[in-house]
Amino acid sequence: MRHVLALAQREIIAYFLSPVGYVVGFLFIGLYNMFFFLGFNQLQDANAVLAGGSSSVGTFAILAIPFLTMGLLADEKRSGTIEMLMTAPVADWEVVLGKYLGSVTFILFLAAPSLVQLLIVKEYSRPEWGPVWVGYLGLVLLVLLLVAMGLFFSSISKSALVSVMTSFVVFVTLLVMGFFVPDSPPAIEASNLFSNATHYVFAFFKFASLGEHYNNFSLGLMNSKDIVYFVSGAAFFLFLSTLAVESRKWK
Amino acid sequence: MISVSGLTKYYADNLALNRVTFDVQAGDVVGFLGPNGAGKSTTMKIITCFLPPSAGTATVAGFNIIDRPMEVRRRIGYMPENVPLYTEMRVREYLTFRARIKDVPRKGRKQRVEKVMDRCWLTSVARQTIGTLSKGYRQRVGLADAMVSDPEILVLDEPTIGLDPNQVRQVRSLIRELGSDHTVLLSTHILPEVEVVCDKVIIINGGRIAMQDSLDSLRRGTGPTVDYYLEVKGPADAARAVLSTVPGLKDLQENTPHHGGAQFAGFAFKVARDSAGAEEAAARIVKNGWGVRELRRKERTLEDVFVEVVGREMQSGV
Repeated sequence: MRHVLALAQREIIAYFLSPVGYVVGFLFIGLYNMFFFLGFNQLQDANAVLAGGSSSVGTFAILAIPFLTMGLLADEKRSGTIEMLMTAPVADWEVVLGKYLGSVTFILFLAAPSLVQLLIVKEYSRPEWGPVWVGYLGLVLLVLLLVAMGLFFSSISKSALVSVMTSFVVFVTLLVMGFFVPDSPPAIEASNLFSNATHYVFAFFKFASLGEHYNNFSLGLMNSKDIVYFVSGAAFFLFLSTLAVESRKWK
Repeated sequence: MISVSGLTKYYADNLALNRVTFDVQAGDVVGFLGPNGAGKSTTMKIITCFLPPSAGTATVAGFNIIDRPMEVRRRIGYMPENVPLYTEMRVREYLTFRARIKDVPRKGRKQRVEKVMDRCWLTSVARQTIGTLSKGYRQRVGLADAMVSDPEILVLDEPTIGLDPNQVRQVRSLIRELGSDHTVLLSTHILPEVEVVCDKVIIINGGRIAMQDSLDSLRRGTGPTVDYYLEVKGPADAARAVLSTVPGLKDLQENTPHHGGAQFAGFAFKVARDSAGAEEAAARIVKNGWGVRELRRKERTLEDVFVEVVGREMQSGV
């Protein structure tokens, strides 16, 4: 476990020493705060403002995370430093977990200024705090899942560019998938079995969609189903990343 | 300490290592010598558990690289070719991180890092960002990294490549120093390096071990004769006549250097190993009233061995 902490610490240091960390961080913080500001001016209800505030952090996180995770493993492979890690007495899963924790910590650190929004709204109104914390829980879960996915896409490629593009495409697809799935399957003149099947396929896509689950948190709904989605998804992608790192032993 | 047996490695269809077998005893400083592409780096990457072998096995400090890779990695300090480092970190920061990774206990960690930096002449750049260092310094950081956990075994892949002559000398002397209390396996294609630093040499060519021996016995050679060079201050013809009377002296040739001037004559000859032919020749020259300016025993250099071994391999179409 010590190794994981040492690796995570190094990763965080690297973020603070890299230009990408600052550029993306600056844009991320700037944009979500700007949206909060706009929402603050337009909307009347305190709860809506805060819900909008935290969900916009999430939306921009979806855009920022590919850039912040693209190099995690891809750069190591490209520069050859992976060899230094793989010949030290560090397990593959420790490397993956260390990078994961470092990245999640840095990103949550970038999201932390959004807490200021709470203080600001508090001055003007009395929002319900419950949904606010649920919203933040959703944000944390979202980051946990997306970083795991971003890390995986970084682990299977030697090029950070390929990683970032893959992450982007996958994230955005997952996000909007839910909107295009109709609630009921189209009317088809077919047997019961077929329409049942399409019903399940549609239901699958709807469930897999990020937007659906994250939305619930923004609305203040804390469903165990949604928590499971994020946590098991994160675990799955961390597992895949570890496999990807181990795969050099199979060649 | 390191025992490699039948190690074979394919990169797709390309056979990089072909049943490589050799041993490194504890405390040896072994030079792994071979032309580019011979398989030196591949062998090292397999020994340090970075790559898996396609066949064969290796044991390091009693641990098998396939069954107990963690134990192997704990005991090896490895410096790969092209020393990859985190260029955004500072030297001390990087070495401290590596020390942590390698389980150097927290208690003595700081001192250990300082000591290793001192030994590699890095103290003056301790606070510098690695990206701003010259190649020589980076190589030394790599070396310090390999040493930081005080491992029993050091595996160094081309440790002096790309360094200027001064730095090369410094690194070689450091490796020699380390060799006194560590087991060192270093790879290179620079022959003088092996001669200066190592006790033993393993020559690899085309994925196969061509030869392994200690440098001493290599130089002594195993042939039946030893070459000598004799420079005489005196008339060439008369000296030649005297020399041809020496028993056991073969292949006498005149070999006068231009720098000697007219009064010096040089000869090359062979005598049987362990015979006193050379001394006898010198004695007879002196007895005739001429001076012996130089009597040199020509030891087989590593280069001779290398060229012979590699050339032999190439000729046999391997």
